[in-house]
This record gives sequence, structure tokens and C-alpha cells, in this order.
Amino acid sequence: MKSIQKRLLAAFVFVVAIFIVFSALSGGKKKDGKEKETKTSQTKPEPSGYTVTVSEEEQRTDGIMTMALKTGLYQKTVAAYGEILAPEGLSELLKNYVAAASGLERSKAQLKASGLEYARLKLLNASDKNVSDKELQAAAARLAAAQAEEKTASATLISAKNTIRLKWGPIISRWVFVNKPALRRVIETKDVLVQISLPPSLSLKGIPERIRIASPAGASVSARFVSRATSTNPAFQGLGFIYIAPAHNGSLVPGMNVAAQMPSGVMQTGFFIPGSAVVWLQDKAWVYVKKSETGFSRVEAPTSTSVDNGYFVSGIFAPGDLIVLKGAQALLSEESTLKTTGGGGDEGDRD
Amino acid sequence: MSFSAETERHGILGAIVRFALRRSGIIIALALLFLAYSAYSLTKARYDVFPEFAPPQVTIHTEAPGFSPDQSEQLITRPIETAVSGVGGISSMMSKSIQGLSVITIKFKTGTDVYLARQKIAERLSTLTGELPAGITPEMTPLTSSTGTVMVIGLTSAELTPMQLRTIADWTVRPRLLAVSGVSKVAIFGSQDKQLQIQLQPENLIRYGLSIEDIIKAAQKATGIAGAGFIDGANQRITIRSQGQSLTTQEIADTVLEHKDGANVTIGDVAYVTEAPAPQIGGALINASPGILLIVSAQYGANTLQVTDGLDRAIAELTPALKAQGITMYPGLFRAAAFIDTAIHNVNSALVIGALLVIVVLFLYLFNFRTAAISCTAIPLSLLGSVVILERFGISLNTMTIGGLAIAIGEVVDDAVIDVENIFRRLRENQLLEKPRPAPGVVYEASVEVRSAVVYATFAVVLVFIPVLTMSGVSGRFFAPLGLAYIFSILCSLMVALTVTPALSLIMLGVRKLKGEDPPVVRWTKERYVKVIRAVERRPKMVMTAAAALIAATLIIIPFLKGKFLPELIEGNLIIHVSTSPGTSLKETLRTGKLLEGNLIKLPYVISVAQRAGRAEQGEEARGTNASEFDLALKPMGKEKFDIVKKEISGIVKKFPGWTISIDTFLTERIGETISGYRAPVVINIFGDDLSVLDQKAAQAMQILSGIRGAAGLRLQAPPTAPELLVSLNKQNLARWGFKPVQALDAMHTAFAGKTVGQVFDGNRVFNVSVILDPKNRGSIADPGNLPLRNPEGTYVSLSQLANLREMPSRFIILHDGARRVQTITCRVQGRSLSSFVAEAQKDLSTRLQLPPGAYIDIAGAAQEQARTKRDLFVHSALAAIGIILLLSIVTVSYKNLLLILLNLPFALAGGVFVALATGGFLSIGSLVGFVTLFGITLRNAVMLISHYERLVNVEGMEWGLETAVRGASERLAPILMTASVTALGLLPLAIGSGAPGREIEGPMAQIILGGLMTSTLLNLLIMPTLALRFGSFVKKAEDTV
Repeated sequence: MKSIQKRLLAAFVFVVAIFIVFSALSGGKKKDGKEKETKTSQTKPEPSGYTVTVSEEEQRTDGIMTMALKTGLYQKTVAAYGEILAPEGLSELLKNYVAAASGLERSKAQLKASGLEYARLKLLNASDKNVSDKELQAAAARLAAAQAEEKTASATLISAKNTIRLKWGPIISRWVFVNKPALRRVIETKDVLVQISLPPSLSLKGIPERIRIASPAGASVSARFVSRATSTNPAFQGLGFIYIAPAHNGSLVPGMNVAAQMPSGVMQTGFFIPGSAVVWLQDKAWVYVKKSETGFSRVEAPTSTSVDNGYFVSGIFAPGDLIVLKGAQALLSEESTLKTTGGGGDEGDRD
Repeated sequence: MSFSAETERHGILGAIVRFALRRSGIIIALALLFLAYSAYSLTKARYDVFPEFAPPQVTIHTEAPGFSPDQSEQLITRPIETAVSGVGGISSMMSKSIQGLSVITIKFKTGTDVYLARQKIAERLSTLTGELPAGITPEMTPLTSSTGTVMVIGLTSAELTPMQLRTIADWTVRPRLLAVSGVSKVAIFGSQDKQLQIQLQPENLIRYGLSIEDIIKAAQKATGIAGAGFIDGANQRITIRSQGQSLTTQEIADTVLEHKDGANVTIGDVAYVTEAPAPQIGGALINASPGILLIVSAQYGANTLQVTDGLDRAIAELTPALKAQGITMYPGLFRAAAFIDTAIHNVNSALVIGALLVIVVLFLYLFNFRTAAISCTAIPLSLLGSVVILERFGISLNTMTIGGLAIAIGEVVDDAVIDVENIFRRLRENQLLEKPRPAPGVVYEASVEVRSAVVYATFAVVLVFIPVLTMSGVSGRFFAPLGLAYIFSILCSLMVALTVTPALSLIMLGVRKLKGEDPPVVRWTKERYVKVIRAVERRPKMVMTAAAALIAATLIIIPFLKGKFLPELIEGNLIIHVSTSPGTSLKETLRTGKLLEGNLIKLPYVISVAQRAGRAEQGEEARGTNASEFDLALKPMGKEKFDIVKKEISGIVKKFPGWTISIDTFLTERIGETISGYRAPVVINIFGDDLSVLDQKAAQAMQILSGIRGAAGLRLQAPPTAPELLVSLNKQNLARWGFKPVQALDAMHTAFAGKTVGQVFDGNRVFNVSVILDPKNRGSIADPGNLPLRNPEGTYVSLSQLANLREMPSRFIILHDGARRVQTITCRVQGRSLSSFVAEAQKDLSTRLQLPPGAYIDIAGAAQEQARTKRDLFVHSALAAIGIILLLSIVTVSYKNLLLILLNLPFALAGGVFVALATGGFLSIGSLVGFVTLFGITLRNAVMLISHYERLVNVEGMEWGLETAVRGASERLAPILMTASVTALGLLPLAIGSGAPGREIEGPMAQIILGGLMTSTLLNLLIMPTLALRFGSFVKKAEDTV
């Protein structure tokens, strides 16, 4: 009986020993499992955005490249559309104006002659009827006709002037009235007048003195502001401006539609941010700025000023700031990975 | 030949043996004929790496260029789901809606005729005409096998442009590959898909006063083609063929848009007409160079090896012509056949080595060439018989079925050995008689003497396998063929033992003088065994206490074993899945991909590396441009080296910031995807209607899960972080300017997605003609706002005046499960068992996560599959156990003896559990199947011993006592040791080469069987006689009740 008890005790001790050994083994393995969860990258919220830490080796591996910001000047431009105006209408108006002016001159001369004739005949008639009353009355009638003609000619001239003013505005009208050389150059098709139309509901704070227009052949030509347009282009329904530009060896001809870039606002000082540096998140554009050897800060970058292949930003960055030119999306991914995977898991799961 | 009348009482078994002995020559001739036929069948057998493990499934793939994920979901996925959801036999329906694509995967219940299922789905899809947006056509993807991809082929060229290369891939390589018998689909990555593009320049549209619609109409007319009919004359019918369609970029550019004041405005005046790639949805790199990847899928049920052979021939034909054009072809980027070859070769070699070892053991034990030779004939006859039956059932020869054959080797030999050993013994005894009886009668009696117990034991083993055959899900589809192969083998061996073995024994042993003593090995063992058994008998309590302690220790260890669905497969390849933040551009994905490939290709063991970024036009993956897959072809290596290599590669990949990665072998990944649609083992689905609520709850669930020990790689599958430019049309502004909403929408679609307006032909090649915005006007987020639209009065208005444009975060994918919206969290488990993690997660989520009405949570994945499999296994095991007990109660009339037989099971369990512990502490489904097999073998041994005791008492008239117990045990020693040895040695190559390709699943199974066999045999031989002596019930029956 004693021996059975001893054996049972031995069996119990054996079982307990096995239990303890496996419990210890199991605990050890749990620890190993936890150790696998380490990763070098981290993310943390900062007042100015998020900072993500990526080791130098990871930066090299991913080909992350930075660019130092340099101060630059920029003036915003607005895309507009233009139409080269036909000079024929202007020429016709000029002809009408000249004819009206000449007619007035002629009427005035006639009026003057008729007046003198009437006065002379009136004196002769008064001096013993040296001329008959009939002749005097005829002279009076001629004078009245000349006066009427002069009034008509004057009104015609005013009408011609008004037509020009209404159609071309005060500046070009003045060219016509004083026969400016600029007008001659337009009529001789050495220069062209371009009516530039802004897109509807867009306005400019100041009208730029000079703009660039692109000819259909691709040439960029400088144009000088002349006046506001007196009517809108029905195809665009926006504000219009008339510019004058050299005909550029006939590459700009009347009837042609051209594209124009109109400077808007004042010249600003700021930085050019390439499009490759910008990532979009939560309705905003962001740029990563390298703050230390391994730290990158996500900074909001306004994109209201869009330029070719990027944006112009003023007031956010400082000269020499290192922005991430290549690899910004990788940093954004690193941030979101660390947020959505709950601590740096190493396995994704689905396409 | 004559038999005594007494022999007639052995029923059908007796009749079969009698016939075999009477017609021994015919039986042997039939056996030879069957061998020849089996060998012939083997040459035509279908080889595959695994059984068809995926359930019948249909994938509906709908391209929707330009559609956002929300639009894809609302306008395409939902109507299709509604249309098909009523089809009978559907077990699950999952969908993914991403930008420009809707993919719905419908799985049917196992056993469903997949062709009928496709027919039903096609009928439902036809009812959708008019319900989907214009130009959207859902398509069922071709039916592919479970493993799907058979080969990945790469093309690169230093001389051709990517677009030229793509054209050759599209029109030369792809058609040839599709012509290979068994190929269902060739998807192409590296989509510089050539188009003739009319690239609109907005400033020119305005300049000439034209709208986008004007260009579309003109281009459609220019590229349109119409037949002209025929002239039916008195004698002849003359076909009219019209020409004049614009076929070149110049001809399209010259198309007149407007004739005004004697001058023409042509398409070329307002747009660049050029050959350019379609907007890309995917890209490819091969060894860090841009290229084309052709992903070749095999048809459902196709023979992977034959398909690969056909592809190899096609590649050989194509190579010279491609080389001449400066194209390099990479046919080995991924080859499923490589693993199949290696795996089947390894399993086959294990089978052959096992068989050879078995033969050696038989010779040692029997020490007689003839008896050993007779026993050995059972191996080819049984195994080939099983192969023929499997072939008839349409089951391929794969690592699982061949594994089943390998496991069965010991058993099939055992059937013959038991027979031959008894026949030999009885013939020898007969020869010692003064007046020996005729040999046929002796052989007959010796055969039927042991046969009854063997038949019952065999049926018990068949019953043991029922739980394996009835397992559900992927596990069932994996292991049922193994079970079938095993069952067919042992049933064939039973048949051989009833026919060929007696016939051969009669011919080869019946007329010869046999030696009157035991073979040396048996003699030597018996002498020592008798001493040991007597010594054990003297210390019964100590022995029983030790056995009880062992069983107790086993039961304590079991909870510490970690659950694992399937072991890692060593396939000679690795697939790295990488995804970054949704919204990552294709350009960025390819840039970083190139850097990774540059690092990987330098590794000495990497043969090639290929990246597939985004998706292919005809691919089934619903992947954005933020995701890519790298196929790594590795040099052959063993498991240890593979583990090191995987770790090193993982280290390199982890150096890329922002990457979420998974590294797996191809098949491991496919199995995971088949189980849950995900690669991660734990899948938590939160169902509900409101996506915002789902996102919020998913975030909370992730928080909870991250606090559970072992959680790793937690990932939200549909994060709402993809950048989106929302264009909201302003109704008032539209009315003010005289636009209809559809005009603005169409213009946007044309400008940014491109509108196909016709096709042009170049020989047999057809290319789309599309109208799209000039690339420089569609590269920035500001560009859509500047798109000029012309109203009916000819006024131009930019899109920003008609709509509010705002960048905002959105989903890049919307998931459905069972036509319900779902947000999914996946994770892995580190440092603890999957099942315990899932249990804790279930508990924590149910108590801490408050869900609104209508929302609910569900946990799926490998963990659930494993739990379900275990549940199935235990339920069916219980039913099988009842069947086995009933069967054994026929063999042994006493319930005490029945309990003694069943006592062997814990003996076997002990060895298996200790082996599982020593080999890593994992308990995979394969290991469980190993236990099932082990219990079958153990039961058989125990049945043989107990039935022999009953025979000694009942037939030979011995009194039950120590001497009878010792005699019975010593007489059964040789067969039991032989059974154990041949089974163990048959499995030894599998167990030793456990990590080798193809043996990953059967290896642990074999180890479990080996371990269990050792303890059960040892305890059966040493403790069972002692237990039988004390607790057995062996009394001579008054009469034979059978």
C-alpha cells in the first residue's frame, strides 16, 4: 500500500513538473512574439502637423530626396481668351468720321459764304433797292439752307464720333479723332487689336499694362493694354479688354482666337513647390519638411496659386527649408500605416 | 484440389479464398494483367500539387472606367448582387468595388456542378440589360483551377517602346498562349495598351468654337465602318466592299470638323492625334526593368503539368521571333509545375524509399525469400489499385493522395504479412505431422483463421477515417482525397490478402519443405520479449502507474499545443504583397518597386523578381495602384535555408517606409484566400449599412484588438483615406448657363477617363480610337476645374463654374459580404495560439464594442476554419467511435476486452502528442489527421492481440492465465512488430524529410503516426498482457455463436 502511495506521489510530482516546464516555455514564447513587433518608424502629432520618423537607411532605401527652398518672385496669372479684331470696321468708322468732319467743314464754308452774300445784298437793297427784294429773299433762303446744312453736318459728325466711342471706347476713338500713328499701324495691319475676355464671373483688381498672348502657331507675343472693351464676347460672357500687339509677321491675323495669360495682383515673394512634393489628405495639400536627420514634419501648403508643375506658396516656409521632393507619398503611407495597423505590423492582407 | 466440408462455414470470405486457391493460376494472371493496366493508367494520370481545394465559384468582373468606388458599388455591384443572390446553392457572395471596377465572387456549396452554377448566373446577368449604366457589361471570368496561375511569363526589350512591347504581347504572344490546351486566361500587366488617341487641347476647342461632343461625333464618323451589302445579278452575287475609314493618325487628324468661309477646321487643328497608351491601371517591372507580365491561368480541372508542357512548347516556338525583334522572354518568373514536379518527386521518393525499407524489414523478420516476396506483392497491387480507383473518381494524383498511399504502405503490407505468416506457420506445423494434410486445405484454413479479425479491423480503420472524409470547408477538400487514397489502398490490400496472397502462398510455399523454426530475428526478439513480459507482470502496479502518469501528462500537454491550419509550404517561390496608403500613384508604386527589385535581384539565391503593380484589364484582383505583388523565383533550397532567406528578404522589404507587406508562398496564399478571401488568419467583419458608422466602429474594434496579446499586423481593409476630387454639379449654375447635367458628366468622362469612339485595324490587330484630354491638361488637381464646356448658344464655361470641386478623403474600396456592406479588420497572431486569440477577441469585442441597431460583428478566417474543422472532426469522430465500438463488439464478445482494445488509443495519443511537442508544439489539421490514422493502426494491432487471446482460449482450448497471456503475446509479437516496423519505416522518409517541398503537410502527419506507433506498440506489447490478465475476460464459450 505504501509503495502505491509513493508511486502515485511520484506520478503527481512528474505531472506538476511537466506543467511548470510548459507554462514557462509558453511564457518565453509569448515574449519572443512581442519582440517581433518593433519597427524603427514612428509618428506623433505636432502642433504644426504630424512628424514621422524614418531612419537614414530607410530614406536611402526608399530613395527619399529633399530640395532646399529658394525665395522667388511670382505674380499670379489668369488664363483668358482673345480674339484678334478685324480692322475693317475701324477703317469704315474712320472713313465715316472723316466724311462727317469734311461735310461739316463744307457746310460751315457754305454757311459763311451764304451769310456774306446775304449781308451784301441786304446793304444793296437798302441803298435804293440796288438789288431787288426778290434777290434779297433768295439770298436769305440760301443762308437759311446753309445754316440747316451746317447743323446736319455737325450732328453727323457727332454721331460718327459717338459710334466710334461706343464701339471702340474713348482711347481708340481718340486715335481716330486725332489720326494717331497707332491707328495707322493697325489699319496697315502692322499691329493688331486683341479683345481679351476673362472667364465669366472673374474679375481683376488692376488691369495689367502688358500681357502675353499665344499665337496659334505657338509664339508668345507681348501685348499692350489699350482700353476696356465696350462689349463682351458672347462666347465667354466675361469682362473684356482691348490690347494692341505687333502682328508678328502675319502670324496674328484678324479673326484669329488666341489664348492669353493675364498677370493678376501684385508680385509676391515666396517659394515654388513642385507638384511631386505635394500630397493630399483630408481636403488639404501637405508638404513634408525635413526637420532633422530622421524627422519629417507634414506642413499644410496652400494650393490657391497653381503654377506649371506645382504651386507657389508664400509665408509658410523659410528659405533653405528642406522639402521632400521624392518620396512624400511614402512618408504619408508610413504615417497612415502606423495609424491603421495599430503599431507596425509587418503583414498586409489583401489586394 | 479439395476442401473439407468444415471449410464451408466461413461464408463469403471463405468462398473468395476458396476460389483463389482453386483458380490460383487465373488469379495470378489477373493480378499481372491488373498491374500492367495500372502502370498504363499511371502514365495518363492527372497530376497536381493539391486536390481542387477551392469550392465551385463564379467571379463576375465589371469594368467601369471612370467610376468612383461609390458609383461602382451603387450602380453596378448592388444591381448585380440583387440579380444573382437568389440563385440556389450559393454559400457565400463577396464583392469589392473600387475605382473603375466591380468584382463579385460567388462561392457555391461543395458538390455543386460549377458549369450549372455558371449557367444560372449567366441567366440572371442577362436580366440586367438596361439596369446598368450605358456601356457597362458584367462578365464572368473564365473558370480557373484552385491554384489558378500556372505560369508567369515576362517580356522586356531594350529596343522597343513599352507600347510596342505591349502590342506584341497582346497580338502575338497572348493568342499563342491562349491556344494552348487547358489555358483559360492570360492577363497582361504592364498596360501600355496602344490606342489612337485624339488628345483634346481645350484652348484650341475655344479658338475654333467647338465642343468636346463635336470632336467625338466627327471621330466616330471618321472611324466608323459599315457593310455595303451586295448586288444580286442574273448569274453572280457581287459583294460591295466600302473603303475610306480613317486608319492612321494622320487620316484621323485630317477629318474635317467644320467648313467655314471656304476653310476647313480638322481634328488635327484642335487636338493631337497620336498613338498613345490608354490610361494605365497597372504596370510591371522585371528584374528592375520595365516590361510586360503575362499571367497564365489554367482551366478548371486542367492538368497543370500538361498545360505547362504545352506552354513550354508555345514559348519555344515564339522565342526565336521575339528574339529577332529584340525582346527577351522570361518564362520562369513563376511556374506552378516546378513545385508540383519537386513535390511529387519528393513524395514519390518517400513512397519508394518507404517501400524499399518495408521490403528489407520483411526479409529480416520473415527470413524467407518466398514469404517476403509474397507479402511484397501487396504493395504494388494495393497502391496501384487505389490509384486506378482514384482516377475513376476524377481525383488527381497530388501530394495529398500520394501522401495517403505512403501512409498506407505499412498497412497494406501488414494485411499480406498476417496472412503469409499464419499460412507459413500452419504449413510448417502441418509438415511436422505424421500424416500431413493436403496443402490447399491448410492454406485455406490458415487464411480464414486470421482473416475475420483482419476484416473487422480494416473496417474499423475505414470507420476511423470517416471524420476525415466528412470534414467541411477547405480542410475537407484537402484531406478527403488523402483519406480516400488510404481507404482504397487498405481495401485493395484486403482484397489482395483474400485472393493473390493465398494463391501465391499455395504455389510458392505449399509444395516446399519449410524450416521448422522461427526466423532468427523473431527468435531473438521472442526470447527477450518473454523475459521482459514476465518481469513486467511481476510489477503490475508500478507499470500501470507509469502508464497512467504518461497518459495524464499527455492530457496536460494537449492544451499547450498551438493550433495551426496548414504548415508553410516550401515552393521555391515567394510572393511579396505590398500596399501603401490608398491613392498612391502608379508612378510612385513602380518607382519604389524598382528600388526593391534592384535590392532583391542582387541576392545570390534570387533567380528573378517581377512586380505587378495595380491590376490587369482581365485580372480578377480588385487592386488599386497603391498595391503591388512581387513574384520571386528562388533557387532550390531546404526548409532551414528557406526560413533564413525569407527572413532576409523580409528584412529588406521592411526597410521601405509606409509599406504594409505580406510574404508568403503562392499556394499558402491561395489557400488563405480560398478560406476567407484574405491572407491573414484572423478576419473580423463588421456589417452594417452606414459606411461612416462602420468606419467608426472598425476604428474602435482595432483599438480593442490592439490591446489583446498576440495581435500583430492589424489592418483595416477598406480605410477611408483615399484622396478624391469631388465634383458636385451646381443645379442653379447648370440652369443659368443652359447645360444638362449629363453633358457635364460626359465631358468629364471623356476628358479624364477617355471615350472610345471607334476602332482601327492594322492587319489582324485592332486598336481603339479614343478621345481624351491632352496629358498636360489632366495632370494636376486643378485641371478638371479648367475644363471648358460649350453650351448650346456657343458660350464657353469652365467646369468650375458649373460645379463645386473639392478634394476630400474617400474610400478606395467598398466591400460587401452576402450583399451587405462590411468593414473588415484582419490580423495575424504572434506568440499564442490562433484559437485562444480568437476566443479572447470574440469576448472583448462583444463586451466592449457597442454596435448600433442593424450592425453586427462576425469573425472569420483560418482560425474559424480551423475551429470548424476541429468541431467537425470531433463530432464525426464521436459518431465513428460509436460505429467502431459496435463493430469491435462483434469481434470481441466481452465489453472488458473491448475496453482493453480502446485503451490502446491513449497509449497512441501519448506518443503523438510528445512528438508534436518536440517538433514545435504545433497541432495542424494534418497532425489531427495523423492522429486519426494512428488510432486506426493502433486499433488494428490491439484487435489482433485480443482476438488471438480469444482464439487461444476458444479454439485451442487453453486455460486463461499467465502462460496463455505470455504465449499469445509472444505469438503476436512478430506480426505486431512487423506491422509497427513496416508502418514506421514506410513513413520514415516522409517524417524525416518533413520540411522538403511536397512533404510539408504529410511530414508532421507522419511524425505523429511514428511517435504514436512507438508508444502504442510498446505499451500494447508490454502492458496489454498484464492488463488483459487482470481485467480481460477470456472464457471458453459453450458453442460458437458466430
